[in-house]
Amino acid sequence: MVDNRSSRRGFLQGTVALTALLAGGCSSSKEQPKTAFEDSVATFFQDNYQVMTKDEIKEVLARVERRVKREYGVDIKCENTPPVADVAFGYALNLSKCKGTRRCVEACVSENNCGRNHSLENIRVLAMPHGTMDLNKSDHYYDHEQVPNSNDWYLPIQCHQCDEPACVQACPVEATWKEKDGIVVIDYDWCIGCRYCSVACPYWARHFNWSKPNLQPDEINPKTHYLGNRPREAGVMEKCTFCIQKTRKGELPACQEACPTGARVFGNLLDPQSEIRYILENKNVFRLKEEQGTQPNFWYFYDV
Amino acid sequence: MFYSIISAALLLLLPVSPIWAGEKEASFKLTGPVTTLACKMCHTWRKPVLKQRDLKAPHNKIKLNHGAGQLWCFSCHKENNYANLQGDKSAVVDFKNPQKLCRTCHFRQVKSWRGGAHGKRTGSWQGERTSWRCTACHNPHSPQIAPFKPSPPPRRPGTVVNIDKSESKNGG
Amino acid sequence: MSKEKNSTKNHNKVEFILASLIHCFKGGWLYWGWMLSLIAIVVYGAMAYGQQARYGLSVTGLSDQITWGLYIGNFTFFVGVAAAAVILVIPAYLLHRNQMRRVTILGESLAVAAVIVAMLFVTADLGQPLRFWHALPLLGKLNFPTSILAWDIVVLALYLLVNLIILWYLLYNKFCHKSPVVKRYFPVIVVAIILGLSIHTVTAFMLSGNPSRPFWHTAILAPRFIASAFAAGAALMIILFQILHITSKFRLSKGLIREIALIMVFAQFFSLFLLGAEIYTAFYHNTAHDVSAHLLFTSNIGHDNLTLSIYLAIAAGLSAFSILMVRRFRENVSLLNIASILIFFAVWSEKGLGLVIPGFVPTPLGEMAQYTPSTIEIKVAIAIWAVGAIIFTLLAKVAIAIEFGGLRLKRPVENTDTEI
Ligand code: SF4
Ligand code: SF4
Repeated sequence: MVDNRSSRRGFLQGTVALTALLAGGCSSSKEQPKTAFEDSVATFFQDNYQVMTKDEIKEVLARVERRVKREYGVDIKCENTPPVADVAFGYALNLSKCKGTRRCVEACVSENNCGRNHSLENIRVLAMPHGTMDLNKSDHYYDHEQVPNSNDWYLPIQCHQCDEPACVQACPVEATWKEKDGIVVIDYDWCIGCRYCSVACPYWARHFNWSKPNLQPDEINPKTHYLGNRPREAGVMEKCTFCIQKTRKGELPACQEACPTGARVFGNLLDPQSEIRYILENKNVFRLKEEQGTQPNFWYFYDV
Repeated sequence: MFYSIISAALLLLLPVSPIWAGEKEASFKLTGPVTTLACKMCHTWRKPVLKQRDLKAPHNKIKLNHGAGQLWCFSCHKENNYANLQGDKSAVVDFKNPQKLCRTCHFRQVKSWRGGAHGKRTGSWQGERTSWRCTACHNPHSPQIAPFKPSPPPRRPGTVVNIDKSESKNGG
Repeated sequence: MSKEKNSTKNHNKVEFILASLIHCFKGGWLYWGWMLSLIAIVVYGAMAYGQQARYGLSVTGLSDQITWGLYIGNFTFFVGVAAAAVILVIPAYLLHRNQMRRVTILGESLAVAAVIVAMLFVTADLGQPLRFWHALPLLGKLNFPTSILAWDIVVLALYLLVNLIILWYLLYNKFCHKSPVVKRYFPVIVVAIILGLSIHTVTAFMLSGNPSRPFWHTAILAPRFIASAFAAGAALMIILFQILHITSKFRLSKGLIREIALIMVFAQFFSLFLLGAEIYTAFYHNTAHDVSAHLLFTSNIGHDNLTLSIYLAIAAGLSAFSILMVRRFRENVSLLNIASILIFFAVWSEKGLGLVIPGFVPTPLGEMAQYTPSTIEIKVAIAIWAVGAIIFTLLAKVAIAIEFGGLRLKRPVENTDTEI
């Protein structure tokens, strides 16, 4: 792979230069502001995030910011905060506490700049009738006046940031991968939109931008991460990233913050003092669909 | 959210002065509103009714719904020490550390809470832990969490409307 | 000396290409009518695709619940049709049915067209089709050998390449008055056979390698693919050959049709047998694993059309099989044609939509969603079929002209054994 890089690099840069030349030859001076066309050409020839150099990434981030400014008129900050050393994120969810309020879903959508029109929600809260664990009996669209509804218990599901992610295995172009801190991310500029990853995921955790996400300028969260919540384009996959833009800076994910019942526990699995470790060691935890063999980093537990 | 619920509930009490206080408890920091009661304003000259009865003015705003009718004001507050909390079998407890009283009955919950399986951490997942104290989420007089109106459900597939104003889409 | 030889060789190649191209423009009103209507369909479909390119895949009937539909269904089907070449090539070269060798070029043309159609269907299904280069070796970052989709891309491309090489070799030599030397291209034929079987297998693995989709997660899927592909490919060829027999210089021998029909009988038998085995496993017990199959066969979720077409497909497959089993019927041309059409339809609906869509119902989170292809989707799909028809027509036209019609290099080539 490494050997291929130089030849690919050469080809790409050649093409970029050529296209820029064709585009009017005005790109020679660096000070001039980049046009939308130049930017989209550059994005087209952009490399996979995993093999980009630091300088390229810097350029790419600036390009993302310019694009959002152009399209929405909003100044955002797009960062690429790297994983924190000695951290592996894990999540635990207390099913006794979850009351199905969907506050996590709401918070997730607005934190992560998800399209507002396509029910593009990276968390699903399932209302499950008492007495069964059969997901086929679940109701995704419950809309009771009040929750908890006496007939149901609630099962929120989002990406489990698996250790053996079926999605990563499936992707034909390595547009998605697992980062050092356990977060499975997507390079939205590299994804070709084949949706094979969403076919492979046992948790239905991947969601596709069937059209350009419907985002109003005032709905945009300007604190973004390249691999996380920067506004997406049409035709690419997205997923829960444990709010990579927040959690890599030490903050808690939006769903944890929004949960009004304290059902959600987030933390560092490598820290023996963390609450998540306490739960794994002291509660009867289970993982959903463990038989699928993807080794999820998401546990469910009950009080007592 | 918690703050507003709880402080709204507590503001209904008598002369009250909520202070936002962070208090270090054993291994981690606590946060959430802390109330001090001004009981003495009246109860220096007026003897409190020690027996269980329906609460009358000025106490009628308190909905006492805790312990299935077995608890009464003086299960947790003591006549000679309104500035602190004290249960029948507990030591004197500071308002900032209500768990020390709660645990007389709810020892399981408090144990879980100490470990991090109950309640909620806030601020950051790393470094020193800060969690909400019991009374931040539970109104001590009526500790059950009230039901919620759920946020709207997701759209069903096939009912999606294309955002590009001109074209309206429907697969089916 | 050698330089000169080289230049004449290159010259021959240029002439070969030119002659082929020129020949594509020679044809009667039937030919032109056929081609122009195909082109019209393609243009019409391209406009529909323009809509999709502009507004995104939201103009299709697809959703997060059912992420693949008409496009991928057709993709799996056409990968099967691409088997056509293998069906002819195996008997012709491995079983020494020499009379079949002359028609393998038609099989290969069909394979080329079918692979291109399959690739077009995948491209139409992409959210970011312009980024296809991310999957190219060296330039992109193909996730090979981990991703089965990457495997699929590789084997399909190789299969296309190998078929083009064989076609080129056979036709070019013929064109230059030389007879192709079997020994020389036999290794390529073997590679083509292996690849032909692999494209099926890999496409089946692409679906069956998903434990999260129990409907597909069965070892029987790959054999089912191959069996039904052989049946459908044979059926398609029986019909195409007859059409070419009428419309071109291509002459069909009775024996050939008989052999292909025999292949079709066996393939159809295995296909039905495997389907039966599948149905048994799905229905003997009522486990969560088999919910999709139950839903498909009982239409509990309102996919009535799909259920109906599955039953029709099974009925068609069975009746075709009963026709084919009796030798007297099999040798009756019109009955054979009916059986072929039935099988083609049966495989299309059973392996196209009937295989892909039920895999998505219920979703891994137990949602019962519905899918109906949108008009745009249908238009694009038809246009891609038309592209396939155009490619096949052109390839077959040139191939027949060279193999059967005597389209040759004008100058005789020295130092070679001239044929005929
Ligand atoms: S839950 Fe799905 S999307 Fe998330 S890492 Fe696992 S397989 Fe991938
Ligand atoms: S949709 Fe994107 S991330 Fe998913 S498999 Fe395809 S290219 Fe990879």
